[in-house]
Amino acid sequence: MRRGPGDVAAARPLVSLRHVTKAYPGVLANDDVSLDLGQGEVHGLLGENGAGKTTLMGILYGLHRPDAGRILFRGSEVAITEPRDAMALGIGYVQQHFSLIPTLTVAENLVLALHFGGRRIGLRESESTVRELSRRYGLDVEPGARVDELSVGQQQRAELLKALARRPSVLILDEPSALLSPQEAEHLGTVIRQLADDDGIGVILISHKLEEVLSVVDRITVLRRGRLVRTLDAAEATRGLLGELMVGELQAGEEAYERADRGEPAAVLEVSDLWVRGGRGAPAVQGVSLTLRRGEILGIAGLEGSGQVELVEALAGVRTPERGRVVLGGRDVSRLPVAERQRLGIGHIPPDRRRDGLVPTLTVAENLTLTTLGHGGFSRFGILRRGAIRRHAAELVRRFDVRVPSPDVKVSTLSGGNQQKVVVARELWRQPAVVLSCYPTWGLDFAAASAVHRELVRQRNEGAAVLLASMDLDELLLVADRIAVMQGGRLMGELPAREATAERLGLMMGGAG
Amino acid sequence: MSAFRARSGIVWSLLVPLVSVALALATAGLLLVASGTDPITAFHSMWSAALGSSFAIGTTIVKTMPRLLPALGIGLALRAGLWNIGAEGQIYVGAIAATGVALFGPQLPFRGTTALALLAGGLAGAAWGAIPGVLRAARGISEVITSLMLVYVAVQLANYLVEGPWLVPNTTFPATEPVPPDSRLPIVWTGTLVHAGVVVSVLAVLAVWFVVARTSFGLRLAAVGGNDRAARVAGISVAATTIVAMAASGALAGLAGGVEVLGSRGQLIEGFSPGYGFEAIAIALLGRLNPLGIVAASLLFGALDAGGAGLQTAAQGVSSSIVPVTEGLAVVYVLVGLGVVELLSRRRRAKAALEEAHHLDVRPVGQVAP
Repeated sequence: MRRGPGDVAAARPLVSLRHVTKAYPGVLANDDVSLDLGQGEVHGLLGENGAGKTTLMGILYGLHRPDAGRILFRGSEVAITEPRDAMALGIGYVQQHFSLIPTLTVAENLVLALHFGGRRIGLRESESTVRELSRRYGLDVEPGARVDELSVGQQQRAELLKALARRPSVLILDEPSALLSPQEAEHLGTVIRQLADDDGIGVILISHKLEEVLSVVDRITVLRRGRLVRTLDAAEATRGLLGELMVGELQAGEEAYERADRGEPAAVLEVSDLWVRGGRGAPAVQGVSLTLRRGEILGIAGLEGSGQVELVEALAGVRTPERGRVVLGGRDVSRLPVAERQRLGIGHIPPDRRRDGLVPTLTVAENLTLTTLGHGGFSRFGILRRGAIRRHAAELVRRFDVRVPSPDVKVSTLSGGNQQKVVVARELWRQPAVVLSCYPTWGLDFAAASAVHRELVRQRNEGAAVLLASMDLDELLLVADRIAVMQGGRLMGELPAREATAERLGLMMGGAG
Repeated sequence: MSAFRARSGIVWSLLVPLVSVALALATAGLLLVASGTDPITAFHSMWSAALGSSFAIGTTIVKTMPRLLPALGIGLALRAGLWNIGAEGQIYVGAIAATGVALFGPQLPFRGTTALALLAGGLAGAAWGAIPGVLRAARGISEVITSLMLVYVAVQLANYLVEGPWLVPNTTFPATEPVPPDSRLPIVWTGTLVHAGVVVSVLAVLAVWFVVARTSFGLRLAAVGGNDRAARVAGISVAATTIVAMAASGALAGLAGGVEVLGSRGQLIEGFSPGYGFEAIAIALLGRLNPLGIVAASLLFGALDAGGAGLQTAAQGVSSSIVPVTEGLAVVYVLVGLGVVELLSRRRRAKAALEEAHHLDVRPVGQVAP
């Protein structure tokens, strides 16, 4: 049963976060955030990526230390300096990334997990615990099954079960349904209600799926850029209202994406006096200097042949510059090979997915691992870890919404939009510090192009420095924070996106400058 | 639906070669009739010489090995889109190195010399194959040309050795001394000519299969072969992959040279290879670059070779040229057959992709911008 509004507020909160503040270099991740969680309450925590949800929960679980603020547990102040403290209080955290050991069975994983929590049980007991919890919550997890043989949904259930075995009083669920099918997600909602209503557990649910949140929670707290926007009862929340609270008022016209506006964050990539030869040996990039900062999208506008492609290729390592420096995080990378630069945190969406991005004769899964063959956990002693590759591919396909019957089909059978999503997924899943993209939406329909834009913005919001080279001014005006114009191999000038108009950029691109 | 499609892919890849071989034999039969020979008698004598007895089967196996090993190497290089046309030369340098070690190297116990000689053969082949690889990687020179040119260098080097410094004193037959019996590959199937090279060959098949299917190097090969530019953009070193692929390809051919000398011939003889390295190209194509397919195609060519010898002794007046003619026909039929299948499946794929696009892509657009 769901509580009516007011019930929860009246009860003494189980956990209270009071005026929590946490700063990272360049970002205020949590800014004076307070949150109450009552016994038997399901509390939704919403916000865009980078809004500070995970940081806040990390503080509650002892993963991060707050710069300021207090945590009250059942009314008295507690010091949670490491996860062990949180566990001792009965706080459980099911994180977005699974923490099960794939080569062990579910029951074995449970033994280990409880062991680290200070409780020793035998395998037999663990198996019966798994069975009992499975039955009680309808979780359907076989205790003797090896984790790497489970489906993602089953792994999610096993993860939840592991947290439940610790008999928590507070349970934090970070995007628990992100990888689940609609049916599985619905069932999860039922389980969450059961935990709150029957067992009196306080549940904090982080999710992006508004419908799902609305159908399960009692109250909702919305964060935006580290700040608490509002806490409201589920009854008064609607999809539209929540969306508005999360992203702020939509600005008129095409201003659909929030701009980065964080003062002068740290420079991540610095390019000075770069000269690059083009395909026919002619100088295509002539003395370009630019700075790419954390948490911004720098647009490079230019016509075909303006040198954009060569510039991006030189930054990615595909082309060797004649002269000049490319400094990534304080290190000159201008002579390093592509793979090395990727390792140092560059993701690169090349201009032409068919020519530069994908190997048509390989499968989607194989294409997704090409950039991480050597260091992504996808091979050991040069031998492919096919299970890991398959799981990884399945996850990326879901996460990046690649519409494909199976990750084992040839990538050449996909539509252009889905092919591009494969490239985007491969380059961006590791959340590179620098994202280089050149014509990333070329030839895509509106839906696919929007998906790419959203992903670039998401990377930006999560702190990436994004470079977007495009011939499409509308695209640049839509997503970029700064726009530089390139013509004849040189940068002709730069405008903040707020001041840029198609006319002004067009004049600069044409060479009137 | 897609499972069915995958299944039909396997069916085609078996059916096309089998039908092609049958057609090739039928065509060869017509040619025999045209030249006034009874094809039934001719084919019967071929059959008994290739498969009619354990000795015949052994002969087929022996004739299979020097084709199988280089074909595996050619298939490996082709996965990376590289044409190693020069396997014949790599066979020769492999044979030279193996012979050199067996004749002049240290005599080691427990067949140590044999192993060392085979290793030398493989390494020599690898070096010979790496040359076109390096030229391609560093200068973009076509490996087709350079690997082929190096064949003649290798053959002439062998000729020089067996006619000059390695010629048995006071003889004129261009060959070296026989290698010491202890250095030879021993017979492993008594009553036949099958020697331990068969073990080496089986291991090579397994190794190539493993590398191709299960290693990150195999995936790099396929990536470079499928789209070398995309591979480079993704951070794969195309140059390194090219050089290693050509060296590995050469190593297998060089190993074939060593196996042939230490197993079958017992000495290095001028012109000992009747073009195994060139036949291996056809075999690699016939086997569709798949290690098991290459085994099957090599066995076919080995059997035709063994049968051809029987044909000459049994049927009077039949030119043994019918054997290479049959081999050539088989390759042509396979290539035509594969082309037709590819064309059909491309059409089907295009149709399926269209349907899929309709099913999958029609979904409400995200709530971004009007």
